[in-house]
Amino acid sequence: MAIFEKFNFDIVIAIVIAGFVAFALYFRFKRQLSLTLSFLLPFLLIYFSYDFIAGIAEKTGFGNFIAKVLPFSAEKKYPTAIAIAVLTYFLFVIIIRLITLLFREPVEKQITNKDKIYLKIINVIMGLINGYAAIVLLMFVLSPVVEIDYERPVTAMVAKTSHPVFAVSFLNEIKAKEREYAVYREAFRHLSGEQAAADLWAINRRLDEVEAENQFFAAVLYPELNADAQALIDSHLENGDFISALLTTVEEKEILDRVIIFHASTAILPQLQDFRDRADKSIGYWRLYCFLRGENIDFDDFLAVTSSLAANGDRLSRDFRHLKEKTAFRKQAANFRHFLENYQAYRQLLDDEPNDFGEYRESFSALYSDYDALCAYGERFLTAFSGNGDPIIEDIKTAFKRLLLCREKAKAYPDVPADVNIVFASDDGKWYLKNRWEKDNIFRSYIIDAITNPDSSGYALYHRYIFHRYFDLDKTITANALLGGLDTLVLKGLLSEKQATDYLKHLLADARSALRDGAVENRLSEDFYEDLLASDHKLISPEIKQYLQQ
Amino acid sequence: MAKPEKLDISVYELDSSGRYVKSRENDPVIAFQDSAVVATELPEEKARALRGNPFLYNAERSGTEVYSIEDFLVTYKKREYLLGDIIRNARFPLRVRKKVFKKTFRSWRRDYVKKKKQVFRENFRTVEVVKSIGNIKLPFYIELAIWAMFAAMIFIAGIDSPLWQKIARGRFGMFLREALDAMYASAPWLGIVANISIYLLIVLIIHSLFFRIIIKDYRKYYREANDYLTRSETQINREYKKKRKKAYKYYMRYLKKKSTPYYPPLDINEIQEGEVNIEVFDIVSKATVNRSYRLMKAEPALKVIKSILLILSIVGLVVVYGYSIVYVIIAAL
Repeated sequence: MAIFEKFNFDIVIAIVIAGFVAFALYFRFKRQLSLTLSFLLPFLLIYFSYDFIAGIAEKTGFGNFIAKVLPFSAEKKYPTAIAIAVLTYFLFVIIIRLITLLFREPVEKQITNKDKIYLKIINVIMGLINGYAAIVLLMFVLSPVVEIDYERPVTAMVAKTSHPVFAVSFLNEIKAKEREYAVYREAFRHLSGEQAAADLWAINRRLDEVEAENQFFAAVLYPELNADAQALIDSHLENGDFISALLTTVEEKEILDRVIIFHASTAILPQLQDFRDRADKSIGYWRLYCFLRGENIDFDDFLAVTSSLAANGDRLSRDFRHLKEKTAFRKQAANFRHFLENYQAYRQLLDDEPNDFGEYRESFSALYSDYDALCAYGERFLTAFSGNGDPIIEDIKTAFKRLLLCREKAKAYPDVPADVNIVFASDDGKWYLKNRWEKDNIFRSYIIDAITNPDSSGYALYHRYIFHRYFDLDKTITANALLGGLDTLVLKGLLSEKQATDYLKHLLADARSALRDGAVENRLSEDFYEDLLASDHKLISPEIKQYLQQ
Repeated sequence: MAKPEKLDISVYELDSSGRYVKSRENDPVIAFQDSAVVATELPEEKARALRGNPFLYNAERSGTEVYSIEDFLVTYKKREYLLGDIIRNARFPLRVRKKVFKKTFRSWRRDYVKKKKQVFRENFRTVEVVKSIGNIKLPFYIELAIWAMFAAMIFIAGIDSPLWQKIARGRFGMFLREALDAMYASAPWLGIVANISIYLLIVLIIHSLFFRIIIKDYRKYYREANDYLTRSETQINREYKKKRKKAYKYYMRYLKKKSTPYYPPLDINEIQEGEVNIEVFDIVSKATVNRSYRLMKAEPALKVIKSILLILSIVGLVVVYGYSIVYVIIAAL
């Protein structure tokens, strides 16, 4: 039953192939040939004629019409490009069907001429090809709604055998790269402690808000309270921790509620009620604040906070009322748990054996920019964790295995972050050499939509791809180099000015952009943002200027 | 005493393509047939073929090469002769030659009509019987329901998919996802049921697609075969009548007192069956029946498979959705 525990696309492939072979054995050669031609030939025709057809669609306004009709397309190019491709496909299918009808055998010949054995064999081969095409289509259609495991042998083989002539397979590859990148990125973040640090930063940000509330209460509300209320609070107050005192339950009622009752008809009541509302909204973090202060833990002490949260995460998560916060907190606690369990083992594999978490992160920062050292660490890691089945460690192992396979290609692009580099260097580095997306309208639409919309699934990877692949960046990244790179893309016709401006806007403003990557951030010139602000470049929109001024 | 027949001789011989043409020889050698060739002198296989009906002769399928209607064997006074050996033999009185020719033609006609009627009647009857086949295909609304079930199962089973990640951005979406995640963690067998149901639904979809095409093809084929049979019956009748009349008239013109005995034999191409003939008709109709029979034979098994797949898929869907609904309600309380 283990085979059925997770959705297994290999089984789907087996079913589809069996179906198509059965079809092939049933049909006569000419029927099978006609089916194969009308199924596969349109892909080839689209490959050669799509740009021309898309041009006509644009000139005649048909493209705009489709963009208006499709409810989810908005300003995106990809849905329209796909819709035109699908319509063109069906048009070609109809034309091919009509042509094959002209060459149809009369019924008496269909009956009297029996297929020879070699024609049956050809039929089966055609059935297999049709089955493969159907699987690739199915993979394309199902990928947004099913979690396909691309590590399964047959699925991996189908996903890797892409060709731009068969556009769907290449689109599958483009999307598979996004998933690969997400896995590698997360794996390396877990390994370097970046994930744990980011999680702690996110928690600390919320704790700072609670601390602000604590100070607000102490400075603004507490002096306005009557003597009874102040006495009640004081009896539970320790080290100026008003929040813990207010959330203490006395006789089945929190002190904060009792304070509100004490001031039922006073001028301060609305402020106290607002305070209560804010407490209710973020009660999980308020309780977490109380817990950490109760344990006398310094919020900035990484190991102390993470150890405490890893140990008490499940209990503390029950205080979160909003599911989103509760889920996020549980995930953060799990991340801390994973990191703390493996921290020593990860650390010992480093050459310099750092003393604390800060040094540990610095070591990894240096390691990620030195491919030889990273590969050596990867080899040690694979040996040390050979028998470990932890999903995060498995992902780290996958990332290292891929890196070791493509180490020579990856070393040729030393400034590209390792997680991005593995994705593009792993298949012979063809993405660095042959830029298929530049030539074909459908792929170009997909990439442009991805890099101009941070909400799209491909944003994280492809805006980095453009950044590292198309901008001629030195060790120090200047504003001029960035704008020059964008100019080149516009001149080449790969991006319109609006798209380039959008790309730049998100690059500067989005928290997950390539400019926020540690390795890139360190390379930015001292006056990078000032230079951008001072520049009168046409791609810098008023919106970007406004952001830069902030 | 009857006057000797005038000998205005034209000699015909077979050319390389097997047609009779006037001889260009100045002094052609004419084999005077003073004795009829009897069947016993022919190889048995050839003799059997020549005892047949020239109107049913087909050069492609027959193993024996025949050039003219005169090559066929006829019986006269309990002995077999080639037809040409009788109607061209001056030793037989004209009356006898005419009588033998007419009798032979009548016999061929009876034989042809009998065979034709038998083939047409039998085949139309059986073809009519198999007309009703085609219930293996699922009704359209069931197919639609299968696709809907497939979409529903994919939706509920793939809670880690990009679609669910988008859904979980909202509060209710996140609640649903969390609840389902907890459900699959507490009852792992539900995931197995959901995945098996998805595979079964894919098999069902392929099964229904397969048989939709087969039945569509079969119906088209049946219609075309039926049209062909109806069309060819008329054509066969018309062609036969025309050929028989022509052959009969041709020989009767020369089987007269004053007519020359040296006339070219009527080429077999003028007599034999055309492309549309009783045999092809028979093959087409029998193939139609055979194909229908194969489908009819497989129909019960296919219906059982279809029903099992459908029932199991529905059970899977009901179990997974039923459990999910209950679990989500409990989680919400």
